Amino acid sequence: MKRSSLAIAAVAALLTVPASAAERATVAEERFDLHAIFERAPGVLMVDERGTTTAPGSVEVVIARIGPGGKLIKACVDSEEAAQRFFNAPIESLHGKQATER
Amino acid sequence: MTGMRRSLLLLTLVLASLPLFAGTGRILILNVDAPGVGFNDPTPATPVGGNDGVTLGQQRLNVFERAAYRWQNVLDTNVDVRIRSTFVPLTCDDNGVVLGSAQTLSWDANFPNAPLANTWYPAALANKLAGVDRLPSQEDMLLRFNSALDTSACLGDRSWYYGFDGNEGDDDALYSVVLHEIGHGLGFAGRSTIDFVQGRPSIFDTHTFDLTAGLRWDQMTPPQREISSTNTRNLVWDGANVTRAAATLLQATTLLSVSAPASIAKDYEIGTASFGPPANRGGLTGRAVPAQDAANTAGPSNTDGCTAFTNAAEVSGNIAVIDRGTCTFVEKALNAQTAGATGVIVVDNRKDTCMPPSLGGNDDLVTIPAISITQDDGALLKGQFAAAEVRASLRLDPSRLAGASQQGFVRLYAPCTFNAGSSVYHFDTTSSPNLLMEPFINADLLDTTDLTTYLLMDIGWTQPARTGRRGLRR
Repeated sequence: MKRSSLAIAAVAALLTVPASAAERATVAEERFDLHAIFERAPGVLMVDERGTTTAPGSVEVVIARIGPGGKLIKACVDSEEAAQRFFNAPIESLHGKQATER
Repeated sequence: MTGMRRSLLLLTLVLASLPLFAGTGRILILNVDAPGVGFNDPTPATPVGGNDGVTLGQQRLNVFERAAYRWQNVLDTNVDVRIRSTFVPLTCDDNGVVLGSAQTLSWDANFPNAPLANTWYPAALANKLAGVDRLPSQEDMLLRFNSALDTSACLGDRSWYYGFDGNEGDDDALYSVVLHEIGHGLGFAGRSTIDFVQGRPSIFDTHTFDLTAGLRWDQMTPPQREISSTNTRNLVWDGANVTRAAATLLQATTLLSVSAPASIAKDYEIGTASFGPPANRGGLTGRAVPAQDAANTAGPSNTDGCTAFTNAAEVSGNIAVIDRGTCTFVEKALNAQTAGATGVIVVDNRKDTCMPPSLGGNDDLVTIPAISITQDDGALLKGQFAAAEVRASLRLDPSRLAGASQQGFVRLYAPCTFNAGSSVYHFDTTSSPNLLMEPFINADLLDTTDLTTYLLMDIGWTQPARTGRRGLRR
């Protein structure tokens, strides 16, 4: 096997996202908590004659809460900390593009 | 030269002018769910809003495939984009719910045909530019959406809406969320926000421009990028395609112009209201007067406008300036209207909202325009009330676009409350009309890729040859 093929194979193995490894159709349904959703593989770097490849980058996650007035307020965040801030914010401070509270 | 040779030469020239391997790739949804769950959930479902699926799983898959096709219709790729897709239970509790997520599964640099050296490209775009799937064993992006939303244990009666017609009511339309998330996966995202991986920027960073610093993110140090992340209104996208398209797609914006006293005379950015007449249609011009009312249980301050004004005679015929807080925006507007005000300026009461809020609410009884300004801008006005007459008017400025800087660059989301984690990989919320890649994924989005298409072109995507540079689509 050529060296580049070995390198690519190694990258492929390293790039597998730990939290999603069980998502193949042969596996039963699995529940993901917030931490697992943001979990990502370490920043593996692989260089060969075809360029450089690394593991997954940021995760963009759409979260939601019931805001004032019963409306669903959505937000797209890219870290567990930002998600927790949104989830833990006082309900009256939640608003989407339009402020619906006072 | 013979006729045949000329024809061959002409054919060669035509082929050379076409994009490499143009248009043969697809955007594929790869269902990786186990039998009986997620996309394979056999629960019977009634076709809804143009989605003809007759099981829950089929309706979910129909939405994903339609979103993928929507992107395929506006972007050209010579290599299949493979989206690993799953519909599984995600977090949902009393605090809130995770609706779904997108992740680019690998980033590439210095590959053959890479337009910029030492720059990270998301896998799907790198494949397109290289003309080959650089990592065939690996999908390009992962979409993971929450199946728990369809159970009564999650958000009660609310569930996903699988139609395409905007009739979701209190439910959440899956289609626009999937469109949004695929947008991230195609490149509306960075490799990391502040600290570059291996010291290399992502292609997104090379068009992220700070108007104050006069630098792009790839030209900045990490501390500079951190400051830039909260530089509200001044973090923009400098790509030519977006800037050009914005002039057609974004609406002109209305500004509050203060003409006197000279020390505060300038244009102020405003937030508009969902009630009352349009802010720029008559009424809101003249003297700005601070409204006074009783401090009571309806409103603890005498500037919140929550009860009948005690200085109605002064307010009458003028613009009432009222602090945000306690009662609704509509109540404030109605109290101002009763006092004879021609319009209302609501001053934000929150320091952490560096943009003037849009004022929600609905009441047909409101007949005067209402707008909002930031707390800082409100302080400028209030600082003059005792000593001078403040003259103000609303002005529609056709040269200023809602969601763009004065220079015409479309703003990126950089709320002043940013700390590590808030995503700058969105368009700013001052945009009008609402854009797909705003962070709140507003409910009025139906089937739009709007400026996002042009942003993706700025980073290296092209439009399909069959459509060419067709008109803007929403």
